[in-house]
Amino acid sequence: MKRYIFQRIGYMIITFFIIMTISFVTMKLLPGSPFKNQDKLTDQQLEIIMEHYRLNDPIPIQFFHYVVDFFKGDLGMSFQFKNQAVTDIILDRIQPSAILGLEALLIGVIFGLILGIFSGLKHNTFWDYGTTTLSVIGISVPSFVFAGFMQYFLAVKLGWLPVAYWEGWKYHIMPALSLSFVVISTIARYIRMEMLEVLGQDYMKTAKAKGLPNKTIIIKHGLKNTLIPVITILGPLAISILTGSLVIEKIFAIPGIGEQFVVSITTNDYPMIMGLTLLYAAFFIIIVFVIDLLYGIVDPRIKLGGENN
Amino acid sequence: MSSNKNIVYNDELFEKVNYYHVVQEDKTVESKTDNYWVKAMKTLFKNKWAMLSLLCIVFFIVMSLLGPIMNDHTYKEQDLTRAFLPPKIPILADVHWLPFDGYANGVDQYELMGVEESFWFGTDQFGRDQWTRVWYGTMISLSIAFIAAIIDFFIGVTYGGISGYFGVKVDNVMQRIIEVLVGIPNLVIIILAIIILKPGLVSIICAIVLTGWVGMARIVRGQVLKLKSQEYVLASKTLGLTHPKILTKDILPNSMAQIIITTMFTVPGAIFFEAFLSFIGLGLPAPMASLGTVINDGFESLQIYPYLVIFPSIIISLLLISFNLLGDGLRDALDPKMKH
Repeated sequence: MKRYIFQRIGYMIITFFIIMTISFVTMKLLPGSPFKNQDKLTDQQLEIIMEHYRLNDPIPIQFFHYVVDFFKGDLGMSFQFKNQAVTDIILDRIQPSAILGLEALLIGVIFGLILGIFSGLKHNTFWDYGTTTLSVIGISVPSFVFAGFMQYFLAVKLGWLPVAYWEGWKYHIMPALSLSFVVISTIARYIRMEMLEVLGQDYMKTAKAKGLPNKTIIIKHGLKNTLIPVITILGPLAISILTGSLVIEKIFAIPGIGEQFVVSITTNDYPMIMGLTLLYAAFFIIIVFVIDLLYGIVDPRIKLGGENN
Repeated sequence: MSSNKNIVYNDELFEKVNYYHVVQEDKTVESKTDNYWVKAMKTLFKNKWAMLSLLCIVFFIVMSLLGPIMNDHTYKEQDLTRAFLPPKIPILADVHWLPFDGYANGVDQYELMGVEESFWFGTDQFGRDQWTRVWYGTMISLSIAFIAAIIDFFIGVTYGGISGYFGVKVDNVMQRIIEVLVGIPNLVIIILAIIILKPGLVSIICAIVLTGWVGMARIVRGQVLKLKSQEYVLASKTLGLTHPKILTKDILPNSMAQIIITTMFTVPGAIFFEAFLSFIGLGLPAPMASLGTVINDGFESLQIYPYLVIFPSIIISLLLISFNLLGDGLRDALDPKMKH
């Protein structure tokens, strides 16, 4: 187990370093200039700025400096925001994104579980068909479509909720919901399927024969066993929330890192794009790792690292 | 045993059997596989949701081809004198509860602006015909998805096939490469790729393929690993068939079910990703349109002109739902044991 963890961490570091190299080279290959009004600058001013941001050095040396600075927690200065370090901007903006992401995940898991369990227990009833239909829609329809429809009907037409921005709890509802639809649907679908399978198992019959109350059977024997596969999909789901947050934060004008990413892409803010790319990459890599570990802990039958064949 | 030593093995003792001859002789094998596909198709045809989805997809494909030529406007023709006209369909113009009466804010905008013509889906901020743009966009989105799926298919099958079939050393190297690729989040790679290549049709397809083929490669490899120790493969080997032939004639046809299912799910994935890219500012450049860019453009004026978002949103949603349902149906039909 220990060996496996170290090996995985090794792989993670390699992957991260590869991403760092690729994105750094990408940023250097990019056309366009970081200066807003290049024409207004004299050659001398340009020279000074280039020197100051080390833009005159050869790329490998720039990369070396970047890596060294990275370990000091310095991701460079933003090109678009005056005198603001990338790290500071990210730290400023990470909170709304983190809150939104967790809310979406929580809502998704809770409602997904409830819907999944019910439709599994009440197989082939109205509940079941409703949930199945909903989950097909939730999995297929992109989050920005949900966001758009909610924004128009709930906020613009009915005026129940604020259209955008990020101020009180009311502002959280629509973005969190639009991000959580995929999570609800996917989890409901998995739980339903697992539930149906588990309900047919012999140990469920045994539990029933022992005269255990229904609640205990379902929660202790049924649900516990259905949860294992759910953990595996939490990884991809968390990643889809991260991906979706780029669009949702833009739509609802939430001052988070997703919205910042989109703005940075459109304004050629290289250090910002670079910093956020690394942040997202780190998130993705760590999530996958944690989920794998969790999976091994929850289901002892799965041997981590023993996958030689 | 001793008599064995006296036999001299030479070519005369052997006769090369024609592989196809043998296979064709064996009617039972053929009818069995035939049966499988017929059965699968029957199951699929019985699945009413999958059939409805198929119908829906065919309808959208036909509309994406016919839609843009159903009126005289082109997807890039601008006319600012008729900007932001609400949808109007002459036959439905008197049915006011439908959004096709040409009214906005209680006023007939067509009368107000003095426009004779009817725009079925209205017009956008540049006065471009939304009907044409939406269907043209559907066509582009579908093309991107299909092309990406086909390229994924070829790269994935080749890579996975070679990796699984030749095994050991080749497999080891190829799998390490895949492991690194899988570790890199596709969102990051796709964004970087498009930033480098500049947004455009080709670069979007490239970016989607860049990470898309890996899934296919893994599935094909898994199938090949499973199938290559089967007896019929051994038989083909004994009959002296070359490796590429064994791979293409014996192993891949038997993995077809898995390959088709995977491809079926690649298409909606690609449609979604293209739309997603449009949203984060990496979509197709201006006059061109895809479902993603049309929806994204509409979002800027969602509060006042919702119809610009609603029609393309409905189309992309129905398309994605249909592809997913058809994929589910195919999976149930082709591989009843497979769950996800």
